[in-house]
Amino acid sequence: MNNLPRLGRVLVFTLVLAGAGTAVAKWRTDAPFPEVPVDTLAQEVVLLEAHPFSLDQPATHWWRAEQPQYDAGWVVVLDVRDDALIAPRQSAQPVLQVGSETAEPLNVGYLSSKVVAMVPSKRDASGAVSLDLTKAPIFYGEASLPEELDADALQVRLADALERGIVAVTADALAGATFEAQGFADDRQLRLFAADLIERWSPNETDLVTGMRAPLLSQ
Amino acid sequence: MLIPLTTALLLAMQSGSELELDGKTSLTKMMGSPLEIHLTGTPGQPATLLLDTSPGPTLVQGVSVPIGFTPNYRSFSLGTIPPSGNLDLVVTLPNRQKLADRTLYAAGVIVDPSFPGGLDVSNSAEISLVDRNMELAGNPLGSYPHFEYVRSFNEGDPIGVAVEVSRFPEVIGRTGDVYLVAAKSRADWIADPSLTDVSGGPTTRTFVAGPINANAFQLNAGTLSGDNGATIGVGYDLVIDLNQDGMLNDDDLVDGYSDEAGLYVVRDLTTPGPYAVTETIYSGGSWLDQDLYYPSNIASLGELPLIVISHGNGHNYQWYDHLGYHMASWGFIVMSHSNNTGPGIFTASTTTLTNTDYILGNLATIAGGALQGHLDGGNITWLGHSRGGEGVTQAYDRVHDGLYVPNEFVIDDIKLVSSIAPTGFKPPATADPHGVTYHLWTGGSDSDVSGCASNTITWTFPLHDRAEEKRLSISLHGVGHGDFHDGGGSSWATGPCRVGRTTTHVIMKGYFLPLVQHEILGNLAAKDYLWRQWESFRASGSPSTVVNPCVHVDLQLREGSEVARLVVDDFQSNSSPGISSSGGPVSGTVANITEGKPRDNNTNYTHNTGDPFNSFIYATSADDAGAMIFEYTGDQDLEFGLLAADQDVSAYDFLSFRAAQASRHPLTTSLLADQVFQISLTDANGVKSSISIDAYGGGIEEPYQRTSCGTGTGWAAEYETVRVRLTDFQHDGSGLDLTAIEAITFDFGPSYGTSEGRLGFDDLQFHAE
Repeated sequence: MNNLPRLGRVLVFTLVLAGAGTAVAKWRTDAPFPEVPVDTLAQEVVLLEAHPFSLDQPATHWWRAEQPQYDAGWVVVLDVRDDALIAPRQSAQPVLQVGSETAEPLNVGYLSSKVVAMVPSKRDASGAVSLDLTKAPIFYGEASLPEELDADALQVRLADALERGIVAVTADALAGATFEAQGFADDRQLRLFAADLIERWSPNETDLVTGMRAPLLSQ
Repeated sequence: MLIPLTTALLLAMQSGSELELDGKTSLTKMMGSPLEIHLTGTPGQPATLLLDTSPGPTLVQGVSVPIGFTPNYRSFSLGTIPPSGNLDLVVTLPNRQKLADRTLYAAGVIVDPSFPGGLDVSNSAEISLVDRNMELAGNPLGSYPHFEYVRSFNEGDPIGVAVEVSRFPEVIGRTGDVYLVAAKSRADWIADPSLTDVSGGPTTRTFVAGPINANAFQLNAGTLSGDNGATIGVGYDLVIDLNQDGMLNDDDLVDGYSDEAGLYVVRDLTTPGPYAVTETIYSGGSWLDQDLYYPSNIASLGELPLIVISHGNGHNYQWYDHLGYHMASWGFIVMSHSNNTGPGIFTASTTTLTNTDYILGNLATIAGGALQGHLDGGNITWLGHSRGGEGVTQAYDRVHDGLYVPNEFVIDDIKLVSSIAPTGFKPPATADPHGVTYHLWTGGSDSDVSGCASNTITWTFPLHDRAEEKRLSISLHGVGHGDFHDGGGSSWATGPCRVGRTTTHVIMKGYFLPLVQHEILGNLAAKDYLWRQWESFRASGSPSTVVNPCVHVDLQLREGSEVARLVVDDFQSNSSPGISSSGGPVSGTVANITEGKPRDNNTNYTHNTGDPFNSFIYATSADDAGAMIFEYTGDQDLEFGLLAADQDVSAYDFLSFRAAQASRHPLTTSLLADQVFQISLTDANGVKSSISIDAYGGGIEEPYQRTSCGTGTGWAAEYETVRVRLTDFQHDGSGLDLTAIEAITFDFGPSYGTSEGRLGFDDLQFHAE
């Protein structure tokens, strides 16, 4: 948490503590299965942190039909106010979208209501992340399998969101949430970085974090 | 060819050679056993033994030969008569099932010019061949057939013996010593036929004319050990020594005269096996995180099969310790991997494939090389949960269709695919188990992959019904989606009488172990756990419904074409209810017969007369499965006639079918109990033998009493398989001729069991063990 602003640290602890009580209730073995919200766009999603990154070795973005390669993007931390959006489910889930791109959630977030997600992006001429989060609203679209969504489908979903008045974060909000750019050798290093964020924002997900930190087998 | 009696006598008097078999001219012998041949003749002359199924006699070159020279005739050179004039040798009798209960007639022929016609023909000797390998061990039943022959017994359970004397009338009036001996292979029996009882016996018993229970008794009270290390079951053979000479010989009866034991005693399969387990977690990179379990002493264990576990969405690869530790303690290597389920089924299938490739390709480095030379890559099980459960099916389909080419394995290395509460996103074209042995787990309380008619993605059964060959299924009332893993948190369960995670894991261990041991290792003792009625037989540590009233388990097992079978009706062709798929007539008085796709045709389970397969979720619109459904409110029947070419079913061991109660139908909800009815076989002589299906411990289970998904109570219709051993229909001297079965009849109604009901029905077939 060395590069976390003091205000951010306070926010982390406040939000985590606030979520602890509901997490206990949702962890009960008889907790009911939440239905997918009928109107996913009506649910508020708040950007808490934004970490621009780059990769030396491109990786595959599995979360859309084209499965493109990427070597840059954002790791974002989101506060998802309606946890039914992110309840782990096997049938179709609401798809997290940032602008016209799907985001890959790197944790479940159901117990904490905090989702750490990766949003791939092109790089600009300077090599920086080109996706401007002030122009890319963050929302959960209709439940489906991301691997079946192509660029056209994502554009349609974005248009629907914009029509519904979903707006991107303001420049001020983004500035307050943005951290220094990170460079990683590869996708695995990026996920190890994400594991630290998950550990901080969604501390119940210990198995997930442990699993992400499995020691790399020497070849 | 007939000859005058006087001529025959004259010719017989010319005979000089004498033939004896085991010192006799008439005897009964068991197939595969040694036979002493004694033949006399002129020294130095060539001798031949003639065998036939007809006693003749037949004139040959004017000489009467005492065999019929039918197409079954065979001749065997015996060499030349020794100087002593006595030729003695020992041969092994043939051991072919088709020779069982046949009598062979033998004659020695010696080429000798001093005899008329140049042939010295011996006397006739006849030998009746009996099959040594017969069913003897089992359990008494409260109703006809009064005794069930079984293969496996749980440690502590009594072992019974019964002889159906109508099938072996030669035992009537005889007294034999009954031995329970350590199992021997057929070769071992031939090499050493001595009998050593291991249960405090032998027990002496006189066999009498009468029904089977007149010759049924308890042989062992349950004192035998079932601990055989990492192998399920300790094998025993059961011998009735009818000549009381302490040897297996002559016409003694034996259960286990083969490489398979006559019976197996099995210890509790829910408890750990003999090996300590090492667990290690490592990563090969993104989506190659693996949690590995293996026996700590693997260095001394040879090559072990691999089980790959692919978790579900929002789950974690470390959530299968209950299976990982259990199976590794029984001698398997288990690898659970991070599964890319979030994007969908295709990506999940990719991670199943890449992780399987990874472990097979990195044995030198994984776990410090502990697996190197100890992993049997030709025997792989894929076990997936939820999206991962559908993913393993798509993974198999991709390899099958050539859309993914593995680096380290081929499709035939995948021996078993098992899906826990799988989703149903993909159509048959992309998620089809094809010919692999396929297995399915379904939780009746699952609130995630719920099975509600409104969403075919939550239907588990279509994957099962797509499997073309052997397929198995276990359905568990009161079990939720999260109960199948050990990651804690919600069971994701809805409905009454929840089983809970701890009990679910006990059931899983006691079922998955025999499933894999049977399907991968061919363990025979394990198979009984996959099809016998749960109410009467299950792993001894698994809870019964009596102990835990919430536990209701329905099992399906349909044999594939790897065993000999006659599919009478699978409802895949001849869509008219009046004709079976094998072409035979189907008739009966049951009402509202519909043959079609076993698919709920609307979005709920509410009773609806316009939706004949209401609550059946076995086929999506893209599937081509078929079934029959009907109802009865009194004594009514359903009969399947067999075509003439199909009427000899004696080569098969079982009649099996599956049936399911129609949920929320008034004829189901009025009783809410097991459906019981009667099955009959009728032969060409008009002999009819009938068995009530509850004789074996249970009927067709009532639906799980869950609400929602429309109005009413009762969840998805759950098929369960009923298997009846064909020889059970011959008990008590029924006289049923299994070589000429004309009809299979199902009788329903108050005279035969349950007073009313509505049943789905499918997969009626005869098959071998």
